[in-house]
Amino acid sequence: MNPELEYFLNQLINGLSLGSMYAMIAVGYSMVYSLLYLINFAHGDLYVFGTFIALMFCTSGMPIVAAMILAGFVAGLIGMTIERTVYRPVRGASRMVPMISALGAAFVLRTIAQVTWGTEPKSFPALISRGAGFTLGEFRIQYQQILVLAVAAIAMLVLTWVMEKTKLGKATQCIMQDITTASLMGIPVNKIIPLIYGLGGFFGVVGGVLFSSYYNIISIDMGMWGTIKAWAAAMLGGVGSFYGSFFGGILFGLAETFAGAYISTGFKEAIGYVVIVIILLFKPTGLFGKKRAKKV
Amino acid sequence: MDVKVIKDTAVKHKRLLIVLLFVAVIIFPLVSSGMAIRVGSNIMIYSILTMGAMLICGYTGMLNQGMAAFYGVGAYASALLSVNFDLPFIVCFLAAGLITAGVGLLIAIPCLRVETDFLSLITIAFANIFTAILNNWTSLTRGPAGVPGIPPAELFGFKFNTPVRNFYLMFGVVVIVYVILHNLIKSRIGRALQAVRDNDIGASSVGINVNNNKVLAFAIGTFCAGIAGSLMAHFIGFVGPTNFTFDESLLVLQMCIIGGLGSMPGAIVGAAFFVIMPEIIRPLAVYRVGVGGVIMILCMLFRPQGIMGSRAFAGKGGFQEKIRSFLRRRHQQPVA
Repeated sequence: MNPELEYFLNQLINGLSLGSMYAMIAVGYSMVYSLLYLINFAHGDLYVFGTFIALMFCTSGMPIVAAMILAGFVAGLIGMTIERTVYRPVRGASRMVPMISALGAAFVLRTIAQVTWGTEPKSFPALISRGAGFTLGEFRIQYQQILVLAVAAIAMLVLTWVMEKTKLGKATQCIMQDITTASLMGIPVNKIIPLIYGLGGFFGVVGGVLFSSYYNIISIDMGMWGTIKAWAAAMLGGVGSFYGSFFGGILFGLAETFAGAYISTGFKEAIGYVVIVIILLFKPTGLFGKKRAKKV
Repeated sequence: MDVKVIKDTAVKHKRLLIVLLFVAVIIFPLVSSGMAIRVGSNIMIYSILTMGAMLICGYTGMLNQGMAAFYGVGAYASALLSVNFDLPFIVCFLAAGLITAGVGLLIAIPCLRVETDFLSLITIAFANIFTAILNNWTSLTRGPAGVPGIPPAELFGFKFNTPVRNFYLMFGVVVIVYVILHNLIKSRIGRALQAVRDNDIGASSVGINVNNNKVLAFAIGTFCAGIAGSLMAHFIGFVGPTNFTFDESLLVLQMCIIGGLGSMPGAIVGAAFFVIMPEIIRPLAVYRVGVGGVIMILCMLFRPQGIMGSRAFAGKGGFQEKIRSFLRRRHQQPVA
């Protein structure tokens, strides 16, 4: 095969797997973000915290999938607690206020993680054996890469189904439109919102475990960085659309990988953002976003 | 004593308080040691930065999450101009502000077509690009090594080469910026900005040009960031890429919001709060960040509008309002 083409295809696969990890985190983030349009700085530190818990379960001998799901539930509970203690009291205030209290919650989580597990990056056990895969013509595809993409796609489909077919999802859509009217119509706003935060935490941890086991590393610094990337990917895809954040995440990952491969590794993150900004300049609602009418 | 009584007394003797504060700040460097002066200088720099952010965020309602990058543009512009071209301080200082405002304009103009969150995404993107340029465009910025040997500030032959002199210089700039911004927000432009913040459709329907006002506020705010960066560069004598991270941008935003959205004195209070608080809880070592987080949460829960903020941002008013209404209700109960 042409070496140029082979290089391109390899980068494509790398980009896809990086992108599907972004997508995984972005899907969880998008759900929480589209609910109240709150820039949730705690999301990143929450999923890193959950991933550390998964690591703890793993080292105590639990199989990794069970550890992931259990840690997901723990993170879901923490997410609900954060919602109850930090967001709900200031829900009526200017939307920058919960942003800062969320940041405070993120700092608390980060400190607990730092004290309990140390600041050093740690290695993380593999979900399925690293490096295993098959060769297709000239280049290799790892099973891991397929797994990550598949899990992200499944998460996206499950969430879309929940959002469109179940009662919970319909209630959530009502809250997205108008929280006061929703509560007047008998929707238990104060039960739905924590549930969504819990789900967000759960999917965040699944994404975090996939990410950590793919790159064999977990560190506290991943939190803030993940929040921003997930948010950018969700914006790119269009807020409130899980397809959108899925494809947004993948596009973001592809843009970064190709920028790193063909332009410059130093500028790869910056170019990823530039791509997003340019796309959003031409399509401000994001790739799959619906146009929101402005209420007067 | 009730909070209200203190507040009323403070409002009544406003002028006296301002004079006392002035005197205290002027005496401060003469009676304190090196460490305290450094903290004071930090408060001054962050005050300028936060006042700029306050105009953008608190008065116009735009979310700027890249303030540290604008601060960095100012610092680098001033540093490179004075090191490479040997320009006098005042030229570098003003040029830093103008260059930063120009960059701010370039960023603000295209993204005002869309909503606030998009602007904040663009500012994050800009901060990323800026860091990448600092680290990789070595021929201009010297990369991670930074730019050392920036001469101290000098005005009309007077060198601000000691921390105490620098402190007074910064204090002077803070006062000038405060007076200008205070008058600006009391003027027609300021009222237009606040109208845009509260309801942009309503503002445009009464003949306010929403986009022009937003761009203007963004440019003035980033100008403040630029001159703050210039002061910092000439004070420390060194600029490097590590000073202008995302955390720093968030810190400025925290100062704005804890200080109180929509209040210029609040910007200074917020800056002082976030410079002094970490110094006080420094002995807690690893628990420092977490305790800071708890303090931030408590502040927001008790006073959602921030320390000096206007009641309009508070929503239901947080715990403070709850306690107050609880007390009021208890007062009204008839004594059996």
